[in-house]
Amino acid sequence: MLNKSSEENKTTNVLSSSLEENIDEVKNIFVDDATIGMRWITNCHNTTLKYCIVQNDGLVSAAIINENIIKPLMLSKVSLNKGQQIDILIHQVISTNQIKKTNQWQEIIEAVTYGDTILFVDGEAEALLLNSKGFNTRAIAEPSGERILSGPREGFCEALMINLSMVKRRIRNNELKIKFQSFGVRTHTQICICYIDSVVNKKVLAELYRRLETIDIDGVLDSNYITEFIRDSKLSPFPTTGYTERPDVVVGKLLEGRIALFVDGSPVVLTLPYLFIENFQSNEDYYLSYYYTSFERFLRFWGFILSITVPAFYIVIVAFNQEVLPTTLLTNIVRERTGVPLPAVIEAIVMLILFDILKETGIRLPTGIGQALSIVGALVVGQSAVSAKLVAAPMLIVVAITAITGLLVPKLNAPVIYIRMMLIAMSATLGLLGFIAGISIIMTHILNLHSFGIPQMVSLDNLKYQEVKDTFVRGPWWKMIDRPSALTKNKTRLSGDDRGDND
Amino acid sequence: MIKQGEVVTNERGIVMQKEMISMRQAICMITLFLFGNSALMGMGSGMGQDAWIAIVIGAVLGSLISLVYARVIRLFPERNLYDIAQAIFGKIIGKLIIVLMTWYAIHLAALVLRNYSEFIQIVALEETPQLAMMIVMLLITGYMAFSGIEVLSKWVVIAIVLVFMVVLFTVVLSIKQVTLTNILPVMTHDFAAVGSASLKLFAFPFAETVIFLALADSIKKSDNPYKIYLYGIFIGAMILIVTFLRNLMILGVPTLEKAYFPSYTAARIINIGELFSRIEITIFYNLILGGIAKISICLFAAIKGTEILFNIKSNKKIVFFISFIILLVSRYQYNSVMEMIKFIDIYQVYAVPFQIVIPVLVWIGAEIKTRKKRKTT
Amino acid sequence: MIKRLISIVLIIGICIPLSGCWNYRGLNKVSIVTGVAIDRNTENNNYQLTIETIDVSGAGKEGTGKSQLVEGEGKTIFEAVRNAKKRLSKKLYVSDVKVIIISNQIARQEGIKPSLDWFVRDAETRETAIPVISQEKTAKEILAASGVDGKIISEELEKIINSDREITASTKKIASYQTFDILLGGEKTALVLPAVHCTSNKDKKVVEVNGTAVFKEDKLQGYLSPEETHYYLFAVDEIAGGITTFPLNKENQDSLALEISKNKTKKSYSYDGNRLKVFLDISTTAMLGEVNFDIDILKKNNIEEIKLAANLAFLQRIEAVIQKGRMEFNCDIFGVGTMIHKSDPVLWSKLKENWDYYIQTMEVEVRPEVVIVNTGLTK
Repeated sequence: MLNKSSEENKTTNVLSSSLEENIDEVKNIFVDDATIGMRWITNCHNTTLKYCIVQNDGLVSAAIINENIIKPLMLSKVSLNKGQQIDILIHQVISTNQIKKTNQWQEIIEAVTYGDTILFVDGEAEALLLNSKGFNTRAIAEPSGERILSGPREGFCEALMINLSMVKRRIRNNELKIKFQSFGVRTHTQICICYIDSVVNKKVLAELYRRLETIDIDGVLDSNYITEFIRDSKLSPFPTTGYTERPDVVVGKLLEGRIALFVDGSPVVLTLPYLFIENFQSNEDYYLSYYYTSFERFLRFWGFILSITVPAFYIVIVAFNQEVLPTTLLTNIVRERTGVPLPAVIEAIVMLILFDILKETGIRLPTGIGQALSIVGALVVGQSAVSAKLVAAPMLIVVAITAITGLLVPKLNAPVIYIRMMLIAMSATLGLLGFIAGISIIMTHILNLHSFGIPQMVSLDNLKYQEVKDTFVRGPWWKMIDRPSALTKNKTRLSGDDRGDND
Repeated sequence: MIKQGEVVTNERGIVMQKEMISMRQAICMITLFLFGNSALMGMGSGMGQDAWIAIVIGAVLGSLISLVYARVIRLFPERNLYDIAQAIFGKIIGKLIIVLMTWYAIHLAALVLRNYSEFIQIVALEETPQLAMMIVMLLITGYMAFSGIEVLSKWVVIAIVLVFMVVLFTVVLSIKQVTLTNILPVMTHDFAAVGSASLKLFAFPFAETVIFLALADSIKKSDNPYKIYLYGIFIGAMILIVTFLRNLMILGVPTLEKAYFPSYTAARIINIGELFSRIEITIFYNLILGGIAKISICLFAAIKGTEILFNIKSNKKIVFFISFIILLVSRYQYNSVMEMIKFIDIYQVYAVPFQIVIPVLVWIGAEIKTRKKRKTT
Repeated sequence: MIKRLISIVLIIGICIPLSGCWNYRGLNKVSIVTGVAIDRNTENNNYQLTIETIDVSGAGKEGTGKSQLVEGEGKTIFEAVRNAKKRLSKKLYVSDVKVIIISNQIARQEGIKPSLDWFVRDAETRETAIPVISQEKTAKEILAASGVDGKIISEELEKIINSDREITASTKKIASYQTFDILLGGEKTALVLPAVHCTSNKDKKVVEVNGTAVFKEDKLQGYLSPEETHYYLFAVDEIAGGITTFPLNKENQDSLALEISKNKTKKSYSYDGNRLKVFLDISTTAMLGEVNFDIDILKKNNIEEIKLAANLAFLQRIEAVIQKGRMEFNCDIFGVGTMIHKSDPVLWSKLKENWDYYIQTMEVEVRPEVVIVNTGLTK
């Protein structure tokens, strides 16, 4: 256990040999926890052999305990001497699939709280941890946030081992490495680090371990908690680690040399390092025709740009540089704007915030009301605002474009909001210069982003086909020869050259 | 801004190597640097339709002096001018050279900044005080300088693609407005006039590439500095000539001469089918990108010089401080646009020590030093 | 450090709203100017400007807008524009000026260069505005009339002039920066601007484009009628459409109409030390558009006859126009100076001192060549 959570307040005493003392200790530790149950067992052939099992009601499967633990213990004919029972019990009596022996109370506590059964043997200073997990988890279903048209539809659930199983099924290779750690002083949440040894970037891996050391928090409920501790550029709104709820996405990223981070209790899996272009990639891109998906990617990219710049650009045109508009358009806009009391900037900001409020309420409300609310929002707010001359009609169009394109790239919905506002503010004060200044600052910021030491915007220098084949267009699979060179040194995907040496 | 060979772990604990830029990025930087100011101010200075000849000659002269610059880089690979000066001439004279070149970088940045804020004020934001515009531009360039040269060069690559596209776009769209014969008659001016115009163009912008010597420690040893400079100057000159010819053919000689900002005036006239009219906004954008690039590069050079001079580690405060100095110089150096235009005449003399004398001295010193080294080894 | 950062951010953040975004021009406070008419007030010798703006109220969603006229007076154009603000609640937005109408008095007496200076110098005005000479007594009358199609005169005028080149070829399209080029260039080409007058159409007074006005330096010399302008356009190689009617032979009246589809005029010259001889090679591609009498087109002789008649008509009429320009107006109406300057600058510098003499004594030979490609749907 590598985290720095203090372990001093848990006893590291070894068990005593006396069964009663051990059980008293258990009762002490779990005082006021009524779900920890104890069952005393004696062997029917040799009544001097006394055992006690400690189980966590609700987390254990009664069938396993009954069949594989209590029954063999009761009925076993194996002769046991006091002082040497543990090994014989492990090898010849108890028929659970995983057994661990321990004499540390800390391990016992962690095992009990996860669903293992603890076996205390009278006269032994060690206890056995028996795997008897039997809690319920959510069924495997398609994640609602990442829907696709065609392709695998499995999604992660909240149990770590089931998630891992989905990934392992897809990589039938001994090079898939899986390592566990636990975080959270109070929750001791298990996380799992997963990578393919022959492709991963070892420097990034070392950096990841180093950063995980620094985490100090009392509970980890979701992978985002971990992200915020270990990410680069802590103040930037742009994501520097990827997240996904789909096993096929995780496997795809592992194959490119990335590392996956699973957190027990959350279906969201982190992938790192993260390149900027991944914001615009979706796994569906690889399951549909590359012509179609290249166009889609193009749309996403331009959608992102439009979503950021359209309100600011509209303000620049309408309030500062009206020369851009041809006369008829200009006349129409002037006609629409006469009589509107608010200046264009305030309108823009108000409408955008209003739209975000509508979107937010739409997400939180139960489905029935959500529909009605969106209709109300669109018709009432939009239409009457225009008729009442509170808002000019072109502004509605602008806000509609902004809002819809903003939904194209869900991963960037955090930065988009702030950047949009910043651009509006800058163009409202300094017109075109402010607009250009804002865009330059954003470009510089994006170029500055790093993810675990790897710059997120890979140098545009490498304009070789193999580098850009998967960025703004999706090259066909028979052309996908190399992995992105920023991520790994083991470049080719082809079988002949995949030497597997990667250092 | 890390010294050569230094491997630093920053506060995130990542081991960072010194940032290097590739040859392609370096060429793009030089090209955008050349484009930046000159496309705005117009070249030609009284030469009318023959100015393109002056540009060509100016570019040739610029290439000649850049051979000197490239040679210096070759002799001391992966070290910048300030290091080299100190290594050759020792502490005192070396520091003097650093002071002079840093001042040149600051002054150049201030000149460009003032050019741009005048332009923006005349054209777009009339009532806004120039100080506000200058502060905004310095914020951008400061941020970029602070992000390091790798980010700057990536930004420049993106910007130059946009610039190319806009120039191409305007050239294509201007076909309807173009009077091809505006370029005739050729060479009505005598050689003396062309010569003096070429010298002006040499000083501004071609020989200003001396600033890149201060960034030379980011150029890899394996890259050929001659190629970088020559390609950069060649492509930069091509773009300038294309821009100039486009302006000339649209505007005609008298308007071209009279206009302060011919590219902008030309762009206002382009009109195809009412849809592609009033595209001067794209030219505006283009010019600002060029300006930001140029000021960032000069700012970078100035910051490096200051750091080496006073032996400070890289810091946010320096960026602030130098930007402030640039702001002051920029604000108070002229009183009006006319002074700004007239200054170009003085500039070609004033810049000689920085553009020619110091680099040549450094070059000679470098040659001598490396000969000595070779003899002793 | 954090405190300093916050204080800087706050300072910048407060400065911005306090200063009020200096250049913010809300569109509801702006009045779009489409045309300007320049007159000279004879009493106090001030410029009197009539500014046509688009009236956005009331028109609702209809297509054509209405226009409003605002007058301003001042010693210079700039001052007059600003003075107009004294009676206007909104600021004038001059970036869309399409037409500059100058009264012929100003053009004749003092020249148009002073009037046009502001339009080229100011950053907001557009250099593509078309300067136009009003043949009425004042320029204001043009704006006060109405157009046939729409009510905004300047827009109408601009559209008419823009589309004229391909359709009627009766006037010349020129922008103010080109005007300046010609005026400031050393080649002494005559400036030619479109001329406008008012006629009556269905009892309403409407504006009509009426040929061109010819200048020497920047002073108005005279007018060319629409027909004369048509042939003038041939001479300067700017024709791309239009109709030419001519008689088949001397007895008939004008009875054949040719529609011109393409034209190329090549100018060349020869100088023998004393006199200048200029050659115009005109090759025209035309379509026979209308025939007023019976004739069988396909008969070979007939086509030859028509061609000859067309050539003759062109020859006579173009030469007449050139003659008028040289003799009556005494100016280099079709750009000989530019041609010489561009091909032989040394010769030009020799000739340009006595350019008037050369214009008067120059020999012009016109060699038209008309090719008729089709005759419409019928023979």
